Amino acid sequence: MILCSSAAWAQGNPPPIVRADAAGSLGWFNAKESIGPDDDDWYSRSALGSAFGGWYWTDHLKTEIEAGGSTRASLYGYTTRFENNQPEFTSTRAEYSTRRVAVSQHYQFFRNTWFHPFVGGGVDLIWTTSESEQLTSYPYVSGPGSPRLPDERHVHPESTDFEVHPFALVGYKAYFNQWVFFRNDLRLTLDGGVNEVAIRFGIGVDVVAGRRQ
Amino acid sequence: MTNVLLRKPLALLLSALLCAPACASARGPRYQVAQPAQTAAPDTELIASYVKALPIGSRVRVTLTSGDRLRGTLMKVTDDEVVLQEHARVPEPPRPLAMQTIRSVEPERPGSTGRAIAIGAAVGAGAFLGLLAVIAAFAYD
Repeated sequence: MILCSSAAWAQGNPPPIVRADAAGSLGWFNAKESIGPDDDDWYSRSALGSAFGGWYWTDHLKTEIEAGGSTRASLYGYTTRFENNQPEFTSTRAEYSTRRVAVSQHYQFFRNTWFHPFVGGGVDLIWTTSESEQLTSYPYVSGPGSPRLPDERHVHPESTDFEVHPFALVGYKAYFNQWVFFRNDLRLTLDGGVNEVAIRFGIGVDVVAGRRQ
Repeated sequence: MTNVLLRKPLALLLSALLCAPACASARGPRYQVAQPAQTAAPDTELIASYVKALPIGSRVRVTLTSGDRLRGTLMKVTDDEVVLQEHARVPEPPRPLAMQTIRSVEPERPGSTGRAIAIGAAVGAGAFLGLLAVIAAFAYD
């Protein structure tokens, strides 16, 4: 749909100065995950590596395909519940990593300058790999003479979930020379609110130059 | 717990700082939304005589009746048109501009060191904060 609308928009416009670009970036990745039955929290000790390829339909409209992945990060949760008037303490340790492919549409401000801010939005295909371990302990005995219940350990083996979410990004390209640029962006993935935040920086190159008459 | 409390404000702060460079102004020519037409039409003859008095090779800023603004080097001036070599990242062919389409021509001081420095600083700050963000991501326990 993005490709069709962009191609249609490009009809009748002069060919862009730059036809395509390619870039790679590294950044700080933060994501919200559930940790326990009623608890969500953010993990922030993860890096996100991404590779991009973009196609300019006009000097301002670009469709970009992105592939990337985040490093494994840990998340810890701690909950207290009361079952039959007895407290249960559950600690959870989970590890997450993601792989993703995304397609997005960008609007790039200005034309043929050394500094181009851009905004964009698209769809993220995310494969999240997770594994977790829960330890539930019962600190008190239920009554006189009764033994304290033993701790329970539940291990959820590694599994991968696939999800599709929209995302938005804002950033800029700043050129070192005619073709090589520095790229910096802030990327927000949405899932009933902001679910992932990534701040990335990288280097790219305009790979094909169009000719203007 | 302290780390968790620190992470969110830090993430928000870094996000805001990294977005700030995107607000910097651009270098080189740019196109702007057309402004409402002025009631008084530009005096073509006056503009032509003024532009002819400028030496070829002058750096000028041209405002068109459409509202577009161009920066470039004056290459040729006739009674009917001005040929401008636009200042741009990727060189483009000289652009002929019909005299009737020109609203104003202003000589421009050579060099834009301030802007170049501002852009360089923005890029440097972005790179530094990005690096800081990645380090921060792995510095917490």
